Amino acid sequence: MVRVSALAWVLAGMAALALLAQPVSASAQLSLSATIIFLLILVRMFGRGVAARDLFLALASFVIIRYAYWRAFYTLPALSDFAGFALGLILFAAEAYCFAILAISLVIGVDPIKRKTQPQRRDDELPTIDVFIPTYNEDETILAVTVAAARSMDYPEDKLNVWVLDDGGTDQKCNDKDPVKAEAARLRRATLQSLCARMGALYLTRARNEHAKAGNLNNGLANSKGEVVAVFDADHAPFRSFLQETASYFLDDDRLFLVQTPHVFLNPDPIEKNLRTFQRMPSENEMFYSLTQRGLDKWDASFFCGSAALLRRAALLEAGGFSGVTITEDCETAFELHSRGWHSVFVDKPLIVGLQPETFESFIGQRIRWCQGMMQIMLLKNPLFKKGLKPIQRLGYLSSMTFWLFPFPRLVFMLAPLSYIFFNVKIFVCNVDEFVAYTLTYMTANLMLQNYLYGCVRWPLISELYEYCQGVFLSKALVSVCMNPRKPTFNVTAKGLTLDNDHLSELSWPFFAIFGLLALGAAVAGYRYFFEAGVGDLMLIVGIWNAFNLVVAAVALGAVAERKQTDRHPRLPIHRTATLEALGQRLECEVANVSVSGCALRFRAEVPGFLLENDEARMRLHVDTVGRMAGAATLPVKFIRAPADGDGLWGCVFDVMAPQEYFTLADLMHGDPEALSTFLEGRRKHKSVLAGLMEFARWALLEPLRAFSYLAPEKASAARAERESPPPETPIKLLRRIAADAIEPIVDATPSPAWPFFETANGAGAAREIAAAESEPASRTIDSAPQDPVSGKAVRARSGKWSAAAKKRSARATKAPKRRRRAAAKDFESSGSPEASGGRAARLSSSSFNPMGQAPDPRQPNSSDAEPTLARAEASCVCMDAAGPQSATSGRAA
Amino acid sequence: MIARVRPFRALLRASAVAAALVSPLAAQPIVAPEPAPTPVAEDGLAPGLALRHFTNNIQGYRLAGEIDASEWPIYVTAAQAQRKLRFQLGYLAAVSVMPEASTLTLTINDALVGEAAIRFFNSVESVSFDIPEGLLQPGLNSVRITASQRHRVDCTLAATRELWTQIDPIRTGLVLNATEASIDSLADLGAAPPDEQGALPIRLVLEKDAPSEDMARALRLVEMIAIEGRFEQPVVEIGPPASGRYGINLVVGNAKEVAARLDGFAAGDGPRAVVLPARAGRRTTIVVTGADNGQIEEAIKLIKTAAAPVGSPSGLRAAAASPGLRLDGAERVKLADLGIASQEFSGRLFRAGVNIFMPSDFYPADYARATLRLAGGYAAGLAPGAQLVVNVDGRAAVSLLLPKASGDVFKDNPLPLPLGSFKPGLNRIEIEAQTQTPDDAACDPLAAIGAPSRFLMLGDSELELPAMARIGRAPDLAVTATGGFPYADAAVHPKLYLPSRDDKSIGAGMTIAAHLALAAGRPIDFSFTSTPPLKGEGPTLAVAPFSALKPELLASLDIPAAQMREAWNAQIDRPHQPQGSETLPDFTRETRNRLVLQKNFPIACQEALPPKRRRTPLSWLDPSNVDYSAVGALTRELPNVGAATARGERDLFGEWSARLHGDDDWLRRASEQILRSMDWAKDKFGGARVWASRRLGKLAASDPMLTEDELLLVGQGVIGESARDVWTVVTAPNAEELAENVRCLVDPRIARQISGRLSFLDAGEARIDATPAENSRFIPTQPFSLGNIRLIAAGWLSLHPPVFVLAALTLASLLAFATRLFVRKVGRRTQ
Repeated sequence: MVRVSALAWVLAGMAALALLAQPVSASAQLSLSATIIFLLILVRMFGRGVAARDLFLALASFVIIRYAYWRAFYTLPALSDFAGFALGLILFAAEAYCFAILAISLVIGVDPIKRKTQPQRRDDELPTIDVFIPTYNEDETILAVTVAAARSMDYPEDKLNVWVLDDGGTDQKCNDKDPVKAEAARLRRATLQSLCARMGALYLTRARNEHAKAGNLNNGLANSKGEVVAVFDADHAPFRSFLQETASYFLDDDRLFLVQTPHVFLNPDPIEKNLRTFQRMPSENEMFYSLTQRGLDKWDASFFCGSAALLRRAALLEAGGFSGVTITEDCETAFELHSRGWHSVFVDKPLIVGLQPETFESFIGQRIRWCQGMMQIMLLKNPLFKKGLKPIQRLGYLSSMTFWLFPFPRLVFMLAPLSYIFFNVKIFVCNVDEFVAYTLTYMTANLMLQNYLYGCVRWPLISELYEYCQGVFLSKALVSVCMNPRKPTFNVTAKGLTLDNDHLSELSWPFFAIFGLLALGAAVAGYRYFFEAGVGDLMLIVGIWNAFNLVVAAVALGAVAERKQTDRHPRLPIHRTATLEALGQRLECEVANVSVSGCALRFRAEVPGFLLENDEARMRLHVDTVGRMAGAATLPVKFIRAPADGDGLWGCVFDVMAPQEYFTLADLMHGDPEALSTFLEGRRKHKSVLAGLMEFARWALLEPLRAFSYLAPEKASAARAERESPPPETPIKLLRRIAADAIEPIVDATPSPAWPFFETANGAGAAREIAAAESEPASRTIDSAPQDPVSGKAVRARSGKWSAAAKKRSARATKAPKRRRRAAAKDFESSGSPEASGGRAARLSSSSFNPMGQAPDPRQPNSSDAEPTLARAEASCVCMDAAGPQSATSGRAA
Repeated sequence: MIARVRPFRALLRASAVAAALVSPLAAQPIVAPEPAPTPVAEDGLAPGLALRHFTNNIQGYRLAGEIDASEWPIYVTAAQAQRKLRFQLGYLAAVSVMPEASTLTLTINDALVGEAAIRFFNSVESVSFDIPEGLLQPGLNSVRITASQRHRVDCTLAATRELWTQIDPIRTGLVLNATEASIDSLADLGAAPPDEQGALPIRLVLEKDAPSEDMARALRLVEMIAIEGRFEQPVVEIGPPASGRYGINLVVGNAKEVAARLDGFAAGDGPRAVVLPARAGRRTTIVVTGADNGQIEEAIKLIKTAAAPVGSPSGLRAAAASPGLRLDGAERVKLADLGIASQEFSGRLFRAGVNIFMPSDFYPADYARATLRLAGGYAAGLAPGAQLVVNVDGRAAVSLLLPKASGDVFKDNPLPLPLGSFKPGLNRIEIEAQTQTPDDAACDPLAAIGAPSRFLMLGDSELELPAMARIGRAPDLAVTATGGFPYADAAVHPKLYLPSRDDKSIGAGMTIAAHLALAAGRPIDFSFTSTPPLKGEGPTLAVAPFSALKPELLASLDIPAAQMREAWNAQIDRPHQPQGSETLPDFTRETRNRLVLQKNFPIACQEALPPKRRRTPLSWLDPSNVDYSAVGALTRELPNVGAATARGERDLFGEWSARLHGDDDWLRRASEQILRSMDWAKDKFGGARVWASRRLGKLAASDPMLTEDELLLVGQGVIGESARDVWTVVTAPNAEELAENVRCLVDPRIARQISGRLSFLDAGEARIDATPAENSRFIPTQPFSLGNIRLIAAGWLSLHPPVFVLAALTLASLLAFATRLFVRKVGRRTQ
């Protein structure tokens, strides 16, 4: 039966190709493509179900095949015009690449799998699971939330171990030649060991930072025994239902090695942030997860994205653990296991929530790593020649890898029209009739196809924008990786950078240059069209093409003009009930959104005046919990913002929290996955081609104005001055804390009651310093590894090296806080080395634990100490975390 | 006599005025010429001399525009080649031609023989050139006449189209000794003298009531003679041996009969094919004879004397390119091989044309493009708007701007020509470079003398033809007229159905059959019949007066018999007495010849009209009747005066607008752009609208309207199921009209217009009205090949876009369905 239907399909395809390869006249072609476009509109409007979808795809692909056929055989310049021929060939190669990618993506995405919720399984059936949270330099607040969320997952407790795999506190780091760095590493190790102990997690580090994240995970593998390994990046906190939705797949298929879930982000990427689309527009990676991975799932070809996934230990061991040849160990690992006949599953449910880079610079750094990593796999282990893969899997991997070649075609498309405008080189031979009959209709059909397939997750032209923004830098990275495939090293993306000012990204100058060039091209094209005889229709066509490029370049200017970011921690909209307790009174309220540092409340009743009058009022939020680990279920909070614009939302920050309180916070944030789904669904409204184009046009008009306004001297200098505050490196922050608190060295594996982070052994100073440090805007250097939606590259782990650009910035930043740093350094000198003994023994910090029992009283630090609260309040002006988008400014003013 | 001359002089003056109208600024007073004081022979030669005229060909005799050339292959016998010969060139020029800057050049075998200023616009004048010894070679030689002409007063592009010089075929040719003008050997068949208009009259001497087999044999002979001798316009008459200087008599039969029919021919033994030189009272006569039929058949084979044509290299090239180089597709030819020499040009409108002969089963549609790979260049300083246009059969196929102010040279500038603009048979590709400069606006006509070159055309330019779809169509008269299809390649002997056995009808039938053989390039073995062939007997050619054809037959061929009967009612069964030119008074004849020259009119067609229908010379004085068109471009789409006026007005508007607003006014350009796109849309989608409304029955394809001036019908239809049963019917009101109109029809300039399902000849206008063939059937002509099938399908789909669209939509649905079926069976499925 399969054979019959395959034969029927092949026959239908051949008949279609035979017809489409007919060299019919341009007017017949125009009839065909105009009719098809008309039908596409009808199908789009009235067609429902898979049959309509297939019809739409078949019709649209006919127009595209016709164009590709015509383009290949009739439009290349003659060899005698060598410049035109060479450039024409390049342009054609770029287009051929697009045809190929489109064809492959249609095959792979022919029938994206939708999976039902897994039925409940008996506890004794379920596999034992080790949760790995690899970390390098992430902020412990975020790490604490992730650990809490991981521990809170609904799963038999005796079958779930949570491991913090710390690469920031390895022996190598602790013995760094730079004494400051070494000290910081030692302190980090101690801090995390204690944190883990108190939260019921296991701390693990290793001797050397070999093979980056893969090495770290393999170390975890070597030290644990669970049947299944779950991997979460340090800033990827799972929802409570994560394992319920995923673990049981391993029971049904012995040869299953991977259950992957999508990466979902709480914060906008820089382009979303700068164009202000985060609340309205689906994220860039949604296309990859909700369509590409689901499509691959049909063919048993979905792959590991570095986080938010379960892997079978037996499979990993068979392949020698996580692969570390390339810098995208996740995809590489899946690739190896698929080739050994293991299976994978993709569950399209948002089950974790994470962070992505805030600045354009770090965004580009992240993409360079993905891009180079995928190229490495392709160059070093080409899927075409890899034994054991099924053909469709080869195709899937090939498409995920070749996707990353997009920078070349994108730049070719951007610059190609200039060859005619400036130099009169014709690179595309056709007349106006053919242009309309083939090219114009192709572009229309292609736009409609993209919109039909991806419209709910990708607005029109957004792909072009992202490709262009990345392409400018990725093209160089691609060349370098192709020259030397083994050279790229694992660079960590800087994340958690806060932007206090509107300013232009350090990487923005090429965009201004290209924009200028295209604008000049547009001017020359216009001039030549109107005042130069003999350029005629061709110049009109080329001019329109160039104008389109100019529009993309204009929007890109907006994408690299960084808006200041006032929320340091992104908020997740939720609907949870809670009770606020203050001065002995209890008020019922609803929590409207929450971040790791605060939340927004909406009260059911009138807010009593005393709450407002007493600034120092210490309050506790009693959360109506849904999970099993929430503990006392209260959080220390403090108002920082009154309702504005009638939204009725009261902004609160969390006061200093005890480890156990992170379980409550995790319960609030990650207890109910529906909250996130609702938010995502809210953005996924189908954007019509027309509406998308209008929006894009609006950006093209306004965004360059904004970008140029950032160029203005006063604004720029102001921006520079204000940017002084950013990130002291993490070690510095820790050092200051050490200096301030003069704590005693941490003892191996034993949670100390005098633990500086949570306890107040040395009084207020410690807490104040903690608060100050946390409020340090750019102190977070978290790297997450989100996924590129478009293509499907893997997620990578983070580890904690600053990217070169980030280093540059931090170096500049050191000028301003000089005074403070000098003081800190002095303190440090006097305090001595806190972790002289940070040796091998410290690596495995806690082999047994009792989370509930050993946890300190969560309320203690907050309830007893007024001083830290003050410090905290001061800090929260900078990073307050209230309700709506406008709250940022109002909160700040307050 | 005097009394009769006066009105004629007035008439001449009127004609001069008419000519002056053409060039509104003509300044010189036009003086009617005095009649020649001493009577001279019509060909302008002294007694004892004779002209070898050009054979008629597609290019006609007109040299138009600032530069134009015409080339003839001309056959010279060994004896003639040894003599020192002269070439006489008679011409008449347009009044606008400036003598100081205009020349006629004679080139023989690519060597310059002589040059003469073009001076005569009010009467035909002859110049003669001495041909250097040894230049002419036995066999084929190339004779090329080039006109370079400049306008007296006007420097615009449009004005260049008023320039023409008409070669008078009567006064043009090789000057031979009258005694050597004839031939005496079959090897010299190519040197047989055509008549003054370039046709070859063949007087076929048949016995009375000759059996069909004899006629078939004679026809085959006629075909062979025309093909071997490269005569493009053989005209067969039946009758006793004719006299005169031109044409041949053909006698075929067994020795005894021939001797009886031919004075002084001695009966002999064995198969013989001999040429009897002309003598008083008898043309050159070819006798093919033998003792019995078998021997006669053998004798016929003797006609073909040489395996390959002989002659000078240029002559052979010219012969191959005349009337057009036969091309089969998927090949490249240098334009030099098609007769375009490398040349520089200093005027405003360069024109050069080549003729190519596409196969008769070539299926024209836009499924591919021929490419003209142009080598050449242009000078610096051309005005904006300078461009190069390539016309195929008078219609612009592609244009190329010449935009660089600094000039440019190119070796391979590819210009795509859609195959749909070609047709089976002869096609003329004309390259037109508009090389105006800003100085032209000031217009100093005298500056044209010795002006610097503006355009360069190189013979290295190439024409590249793609693979073509090859399939015969029926009914489609164009395919028949240009390739003899389906008669030439029929599996069985095609039938020549002659229901009326009078001499005129037989002559007409044989003339048409010979024409088909010429078009096919090989003899066609017709069998004669006077009863209608039955179904399945193969293709049939029916030539007969209207009354001899059964109405049922015509009806079954979808020929509008009733309409024809109505239109021709007056002529049917009432033949007029054709007036040969001999019966006209000298001055009338002279005037008429002059007007014929002005109008570039095939004279045979004039003679085909009944006297009362004949155009009076006066009616030709209407300036709209002067033909300015380029050589060979006898289509109606060429500028008639009405269109020129409309264009003139628009240009005036443009000029004024440019003067007032400046040429660079961007608003104007923008609005022009919008208007142009609207025109474009109308052009593209108008066709679909017409198609749609025709499908919806609003625009029924209307039956052709036959006018009273159209006295000949060529119609084609398929009888029955077998597409091989193609009938072609040629008919006229009566036998005399049939014979006269067929003479007109086979003029190459007319014959190339035959097309569609029905073609009506209007001899008075030298024009054919064609009814397009819808629903033609395909008849395979080539061995099966996928490539050919694909091209045919592409061609057909190009001509039937709705079918293409429907097929694509069906396949898309099918593919979508098959995909769904297949995808459900493989991989994982959504539960």
